[in-house]
Amino acid sequence: MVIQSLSPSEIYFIQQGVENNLRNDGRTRLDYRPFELDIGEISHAVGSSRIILADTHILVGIKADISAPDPLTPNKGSLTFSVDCCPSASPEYEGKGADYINIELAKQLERVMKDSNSMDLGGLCIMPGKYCWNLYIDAIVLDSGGNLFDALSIGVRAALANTRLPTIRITQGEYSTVDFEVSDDPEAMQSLDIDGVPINVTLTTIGNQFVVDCSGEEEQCMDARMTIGVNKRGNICGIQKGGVAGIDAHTINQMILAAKQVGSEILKTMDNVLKDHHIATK
Amino acid sequence: MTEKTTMTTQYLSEININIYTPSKRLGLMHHRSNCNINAGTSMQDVDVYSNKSNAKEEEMYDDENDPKTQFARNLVTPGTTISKEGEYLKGHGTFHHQGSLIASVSGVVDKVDKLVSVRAFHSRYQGEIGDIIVGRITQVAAKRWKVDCNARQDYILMLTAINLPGGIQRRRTSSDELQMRNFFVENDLIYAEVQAINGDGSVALHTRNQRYGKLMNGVLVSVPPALIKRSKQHAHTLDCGVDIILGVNGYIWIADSAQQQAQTQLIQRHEKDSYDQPLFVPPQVKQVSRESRQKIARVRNAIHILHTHYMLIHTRSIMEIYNMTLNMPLTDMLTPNKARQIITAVHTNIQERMGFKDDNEENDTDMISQFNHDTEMND
Repeated sequence: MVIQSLSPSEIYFIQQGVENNLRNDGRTRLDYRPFELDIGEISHAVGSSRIILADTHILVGIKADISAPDPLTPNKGSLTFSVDCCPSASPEYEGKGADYINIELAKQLERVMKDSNSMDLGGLCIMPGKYCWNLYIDAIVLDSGGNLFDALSIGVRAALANTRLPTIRITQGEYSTVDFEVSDDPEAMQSLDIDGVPINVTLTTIGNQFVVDCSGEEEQCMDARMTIGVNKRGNICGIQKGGVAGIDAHTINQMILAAKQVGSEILKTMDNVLKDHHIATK
Repeated sequence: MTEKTTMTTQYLSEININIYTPSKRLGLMHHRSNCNINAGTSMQDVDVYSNKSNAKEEEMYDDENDPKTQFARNLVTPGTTISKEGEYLKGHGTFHHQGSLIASVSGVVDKVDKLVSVRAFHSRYQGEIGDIIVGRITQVAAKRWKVDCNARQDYILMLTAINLPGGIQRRRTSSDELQMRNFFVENDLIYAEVQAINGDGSVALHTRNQRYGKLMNGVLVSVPPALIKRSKQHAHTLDCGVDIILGVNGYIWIADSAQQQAQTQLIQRHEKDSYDQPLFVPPQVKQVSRESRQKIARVRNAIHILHTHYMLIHTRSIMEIYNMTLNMPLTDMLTPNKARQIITAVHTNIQERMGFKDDNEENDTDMISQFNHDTEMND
């Protein structure tokens, strides 16, 4: 859905609605929109997901390959993020404009998922210092209806939960070479521990209040936004501020509390669903 | 990875995640399969119109009152054979292939004499003279505004086609031209009518009526234009105290009735007394109470449900859902499962009412139009 700019009176209407704790679609300030996840749709990816959050439509695919780990972290695998916003999603993604947004979104994901060390990457290590799994996480934003940061992180988390890597055994070959033995048993797949993987909760200030899960229209009334990464253990895994207005310290504290609350609810629901899904497919 | 099952979970009314699988989404409504095509005939060979004998065709037209039959007969998907080549003239959305006329888009078949065209479900709006639309100003140009109307190109609103404040009739001078932003600025929403379609395909709008003009303090919803039928009236005041304007172009404006009335009065007074001053709407006039906002949100969500289930949008269908969901929290209307239940209930209500057709025929013909995706002019 292409969202155009709003007229001043529409912006006023949305601001007043936020003030009244009743947004245009009937949600209160801390209500999240329902969303749908499709899991394992891309058969050639090791893990994939598709998230549909109202009009926001994101496809995430994970590709794995084996490479040498970073010398600084010889026992860990690595994650590489890339985000691509389709020009058909919104006119602002056309031409050069998309580059900035793509980099911003990918960088944010990298900070919150990888740099926060909240996810256990030790499981991706095959042979310390020599070989590890490198996961390329590619997301495509097919349609944009607001709240890209959150939707992307939820999509990535679901794709990671869906990821199955072949089990590899290393045997000592002749001299100093090693041989890989890839298990041909389709059942013997290795899944990732996603317990620590965070999701983003973006809180947007509109007027004097802040809201979660902005629609595209509401994003246009945005003064400032805070994207807060939270994981299941209740840790804050990253905070990024956007927008032009300032936020005072007191509001930031409130925002972090709200993000923890909303984030843990989403994670709880999501994990239950993913668990059920996992059991049902076994 | 082929893990494919279907599951649904709900977290109170707040967080709702559905896990879907690809196969699930194929379960689209296939009215066509159970009524029109006789058993045994394959899709390829069915010729919706001409292969059948005239008698058969007559019979089909007699069935017109049955909305399902009518719907099925008109509905085509790309590749559906409409007729043999030469029997009909090829219109939009059709092409000739191996001696037959074939639909190139999915939509409803529209036949005018010998001309057959297919009107796509998802198409942009195409203006016709007299259409009442809601649009958004995109550009202020020389002597004109460019207006986005959900159409292929921006429509044009000439400076000469608007009402001057106070309703004075005079030539537009160059000073008017310099003050065009006093009337409409970029991104303003306007309520207008299609005045003319020019030879080069551009479309001109006008707002020369008291009720047309700028729209303020409400919500805009965008739906496919095919969901809104052309009718005599497009601006309605619903029983619940909500004003809606169903623009033929698929833009719908929702606002609070009482607030809009106060605002109109203010504007009228302003135009009479001090039209040379810029208009200022004080906050107390702009104020919309929480109760009114709830009603607006409910109407918005009702339209959203109709939109997602591709049902015709008019006051009756909106109010049907509105009344049905009165006891439901507003956020529940956003969840796909609840929306599906609501739509099922609406269908049941329609069918029940159609059972008593003789009692109140007039109401029913209205409801039938919900099924009928034909957006032909009523009058």
